[in-house]
Amino acid sequence: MTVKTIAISNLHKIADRELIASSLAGREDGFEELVRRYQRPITAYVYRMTNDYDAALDVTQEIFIKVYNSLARYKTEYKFSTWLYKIARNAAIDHLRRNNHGDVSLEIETGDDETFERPLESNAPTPEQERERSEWRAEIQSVVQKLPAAYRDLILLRHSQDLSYDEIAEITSLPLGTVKNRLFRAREIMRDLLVERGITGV
Amino acid sequence: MICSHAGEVAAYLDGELPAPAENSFEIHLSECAECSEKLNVQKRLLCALNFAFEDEKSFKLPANFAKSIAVRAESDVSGLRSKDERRRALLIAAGLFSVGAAVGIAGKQSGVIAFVVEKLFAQIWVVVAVFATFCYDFIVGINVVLRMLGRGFWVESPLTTFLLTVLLVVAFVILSRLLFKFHRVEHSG
Repeated sequence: MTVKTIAISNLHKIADRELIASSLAGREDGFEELVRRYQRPITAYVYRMTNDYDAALDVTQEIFIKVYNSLARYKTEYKFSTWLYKIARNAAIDHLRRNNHGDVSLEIETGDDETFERPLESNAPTPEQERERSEWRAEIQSVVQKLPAAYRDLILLRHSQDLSYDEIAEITSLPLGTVKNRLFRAREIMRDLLVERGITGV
Repeated sequence: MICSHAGEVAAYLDGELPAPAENSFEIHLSECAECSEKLNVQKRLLCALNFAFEDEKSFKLPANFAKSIAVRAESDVSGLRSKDERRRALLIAAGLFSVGAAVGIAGKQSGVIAFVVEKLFAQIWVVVAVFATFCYDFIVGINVVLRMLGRGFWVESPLTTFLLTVLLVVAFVILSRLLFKFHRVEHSG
């Protein structure tokens, strides 16, 4: 098999499909490279869904173990990343259900007014301008957290993960029209939430 | 009054409308004040969202996260994926079983192997006995220490000894859990 002759230093140039084939053929570095490729977007996505860093790390690990065990069942006519996001989304929703988060349902209703502070990614002291930018970023992220799960999910897949409407429709098993309308509605709700917080510039 | 085209605004901004729909929506935009207004609002929100998640690609992860996941996935026992692997595992198990059975039968017949097995079991028994004695001594030692400590402020009774032992076991369990957790945090941080 040609995969076996590929040098480790060239792993980053190999297509996902070849890495899967090499992993199924028993090469350990093939799967590790796949994890390396997707670990950041997947952990970030799960973190934005759960708002819990430690849980995001645990769930990401579960996701990749599940992926490893199901690699043989992966159908190559689908994009690997779409399949991976599908597994990740289900795992994140399962985690939220297990931990009794009330907003996992696809019911469409606005969240309560309880506000919360999210720790910023870096606590290092920064200049004033940088601090304001960080605060603004945290504000928007916390508004996204306040969105009902059905909207938050789509906003994260689109804006945190840069996925196309088609990919989002595939991952969420929603019709394309619903994806389009919900993304529009999600941004409208976000605007209302920002206005409620006294931010009218958006 | 909500314009029936308002829902297209987000898709238009995201570049997700097919070319003909995009063109007709642009014509509509020039005529519809409501959609123009919505477009401006959605544009500002889009900028805010892009800004909020622009650092996502450098999301902070523990050192060696990918490696540790890959190792765990590969050592996960439920992950014997290919039929070949399963067949190989079955073959090895069957092989070991037949060797065991052959040794058992041969041992019964010759007596030499039975002698070796007997010696081996005697050795194992010695190790087990030493370990059991150690455990017994350890518990007795703890009991003595507890009694000495407890004498000052406890009325000595089998109940207090029992309670203190339970307390000690609970403390031991909590401590080991804490140590495990500490190790995990240190490893992932």
